[in-house]
Amino acid sequence: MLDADQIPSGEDGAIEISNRTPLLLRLWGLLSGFERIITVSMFVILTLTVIGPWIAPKPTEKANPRWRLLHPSWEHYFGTDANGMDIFSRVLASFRVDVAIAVIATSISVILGSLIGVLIAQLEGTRSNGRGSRGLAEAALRILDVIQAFPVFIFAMVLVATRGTSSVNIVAAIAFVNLPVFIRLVRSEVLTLQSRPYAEAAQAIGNSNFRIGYRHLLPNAVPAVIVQISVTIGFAILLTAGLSFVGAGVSPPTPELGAMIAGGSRFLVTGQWWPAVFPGIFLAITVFTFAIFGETIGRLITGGFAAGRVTGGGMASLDPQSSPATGGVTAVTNTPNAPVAALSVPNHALELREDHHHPDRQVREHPKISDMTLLRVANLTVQFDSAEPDSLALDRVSLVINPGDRVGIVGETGSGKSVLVRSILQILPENAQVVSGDISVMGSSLSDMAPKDLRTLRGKTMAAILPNPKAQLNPLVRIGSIMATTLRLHEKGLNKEAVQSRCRAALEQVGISDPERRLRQYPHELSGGMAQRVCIALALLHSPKLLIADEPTSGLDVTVQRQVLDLLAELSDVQGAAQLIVTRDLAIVAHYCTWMGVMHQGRLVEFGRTLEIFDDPSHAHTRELLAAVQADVARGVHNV
Amino acid sequence: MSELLRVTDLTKRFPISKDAFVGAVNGISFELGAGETLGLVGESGSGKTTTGRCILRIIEPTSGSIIFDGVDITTQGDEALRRMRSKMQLVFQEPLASLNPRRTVSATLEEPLVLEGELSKRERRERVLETLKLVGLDSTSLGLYPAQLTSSEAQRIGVGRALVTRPKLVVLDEPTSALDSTVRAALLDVLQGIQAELGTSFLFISHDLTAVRRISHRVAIMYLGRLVEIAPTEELFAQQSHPYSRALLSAVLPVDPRAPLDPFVVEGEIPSAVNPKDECPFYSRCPLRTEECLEHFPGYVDVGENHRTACIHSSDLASKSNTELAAGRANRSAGLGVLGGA
Repeated sequence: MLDADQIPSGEDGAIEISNRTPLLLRLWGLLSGFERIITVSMFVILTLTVIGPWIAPKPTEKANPRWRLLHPSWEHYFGTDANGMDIFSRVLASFRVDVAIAVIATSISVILGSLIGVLIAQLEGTRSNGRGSRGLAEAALRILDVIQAFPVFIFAMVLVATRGTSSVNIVAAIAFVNLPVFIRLVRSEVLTLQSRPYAEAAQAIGNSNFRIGYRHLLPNAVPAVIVQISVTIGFAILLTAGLSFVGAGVSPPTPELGAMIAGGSRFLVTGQWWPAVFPGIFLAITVFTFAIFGETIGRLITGGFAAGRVTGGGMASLDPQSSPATGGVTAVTNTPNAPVAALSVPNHALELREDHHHPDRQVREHPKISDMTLLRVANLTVQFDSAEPDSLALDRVSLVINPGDRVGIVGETGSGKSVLVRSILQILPENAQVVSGDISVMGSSLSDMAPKDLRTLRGKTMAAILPNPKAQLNPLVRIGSIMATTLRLHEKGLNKEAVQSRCRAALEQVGISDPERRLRQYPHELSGGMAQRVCIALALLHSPKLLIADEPTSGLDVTVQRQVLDLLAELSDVQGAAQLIVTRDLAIVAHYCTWMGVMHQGRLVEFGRTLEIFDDPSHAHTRELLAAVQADVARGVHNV
Repeated sequence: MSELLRVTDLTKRFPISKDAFVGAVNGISFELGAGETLGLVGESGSGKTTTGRCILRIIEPTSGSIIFDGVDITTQGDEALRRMRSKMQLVFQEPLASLNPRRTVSATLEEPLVLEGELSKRERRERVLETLKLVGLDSTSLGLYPAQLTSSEAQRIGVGRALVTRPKLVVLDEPTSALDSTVRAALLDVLQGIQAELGTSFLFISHDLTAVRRISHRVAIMYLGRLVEIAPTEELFAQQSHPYSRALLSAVLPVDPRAPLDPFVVEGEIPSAVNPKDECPFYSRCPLRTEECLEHFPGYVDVGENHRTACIHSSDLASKSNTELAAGRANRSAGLGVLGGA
């Protein structure tokens, strides 16, 4: 979520869209062709449930021996059954019986299941509950186990057989066998929701345990329940038909699909296929429709429908394995770039022009472009598919990094700094489009680079250090093995000893005093600072010429933060590698970067020597950022 | 300043197996006056969040007493505790996640009043509007859902929810850490305004020293479940009497690019809190450590008015500059090297 939040204009966009187009139309637009067919089918089924018996062209329950087992014809579309009743009419009428029983039964299971599920979850939950209530919940769960251990169908049969075959009993039986499904579903949803901060907040303001469950958590469990409802109705229809088929459900002459199939099945052997096959087809379509419709709703709730709001959803799921730091190899989202015009004109001048508050601004010094230039980003514009057309994640960003430069980019949440990093590494999510502009590393443009060369580039020429180091290390693999894999990725044919000593040396280089032991450890055994050191060591394995560090110290403690930053600075001095540090902390840039840029709403609004910008910020946003932290300086906070 | 809260010997242990436990909070004591802000500072794993939760009894403390407004809340039953909640509230770290996504701002703000059950519907509505104004928002946000709020607005709603019942104590758990610097300053202003107007006491839990200095009257520093130093804010920032406090403050980067970086940076990281021993928790990283520090947890010594520290070498520390401390650390490492070689 954090990353998704960084994409500008997402939330506003969604609200605007929802105000313009009717909800149903908007939902329809999100469906695939197949899902549209299912939705139409669902609509037809529900309509037939209501009006089926009224539009049936022939009587549905009146036997007529003269018309016994007639072939399908224009008179009887689906033929007639053994009692001479019109099968087409009976099929139309049967929806009311089957669907109604299923819907009523499922509704009962949903309501009771939700109430009981929340109750069990709240008794079970760890929040200040005694042993007694947990025991009660445990007992309830074991009873559910017993109910569920019975084969559902036989269980329903027994229920109906002992209590008689009235429709009330059938509904009760189906509701009962489906009850555990909803109890368990709601319970597990609520248990998950209990750990959400808003559940704790509800407790903190004085809600009772059960009020938290029913008023706060249950409404949030509804999406999962809705998905299950549709699937369960489909299953309940099948169960109704099944019970009727074996004679334990609805009995003839009431039009019901299961009973019709049962009645028709004995004629299959004598060649009269239609009394069984037509109801069978409709039963299959109905069950299928309910099942798929449930999935469609689920997809809308969890995915597509929300995507309008969380524009950069893909960013959050950025696969850690795809980062050069772990040496993973993944597909690269590389949109063909539009021809780039005016490549040689850095557009900082253009951005500076926007600032009217600073009459005596001078043109700042910029890094010079030469043959030695490591990284060059020219007029890069990136947009997310689902965003509003005029909101850009990156808007004509240009940047030049020469060997040995330490460049810092600061910006607040949503300023586009993470998108810039991912653009350079070519690990943008699928829904991001490079609208225009170009990135070149050591003179060759990334856009027309083969995936193979790109992989060599990432890792060998440039490497990345990403935030949250522990999440980037595969938890099942020892540090030594992660490092060896990364090393062999670009340097094939190293023998075992060479790999070992290189990995040891790399860990020593980042200040790890006992590399042998660390190589044998798993990532979870490392502290945050140690994991970040390992990630830095991984990034440095191939002595990259450019190190890209995205929030390298976020999540680390202050005392550890300094250790990591000092290490990065030392490495840059020793190895002469260029560094691009992206952060929201101005103080880091102030001390560890010689050049700095400020990003705001997807634009690089200011760029220059760090000291110059601190002395004389020209863009209003830079001044705003500086003012926010300098207010604290004024109180002497940092002069301790 | 009259006393509102007195915490004595608060301890919280989380059992992890038959004979191992995490000593999250290890016998801490402090007091908080009415209308006062106490900053509770520490790094992750120091136990500051657990302390905040224990004080409100959202987590059950293992032992110790918490006297709030004359009542020991550790002995209250569930029902009595719930009734007290309207007088002691909590603000969370994640602004958006702490709001129920299916409730409007209006419903979120009104709920504590409904639970309190003292105001009529009309009075509740007035109070909600009043509170919105207090946190710098207006009535247009009442109908919004959390997904429609920015994180700054969401955090203001979080503060508003905590304040709508006009509590005497609000525990703020890292309220600014998810916010950008420009909106962080604004939130701190809001909090200070509220305190001036309502006289609320704040326990401000944070690892952000800048924010802590700005808002706190006194600061308590925690390390590995122990409270190592507590002092009036300016006194602490001027003169730290515990080596960890010194290390923590010296690690903060000045925003001025020309300001020299403090050379004193302690090595290593906070150790594991599993089965903590009765010794100085900072021993493993301390530049001044001696054998004596391992005997037991040093008691508190008064080094000034309202200024306590848990270090036996505090006078030694006072006489040393950060450069000397950094050099001492280097010497120690070198010395160990020689020792190892011999």
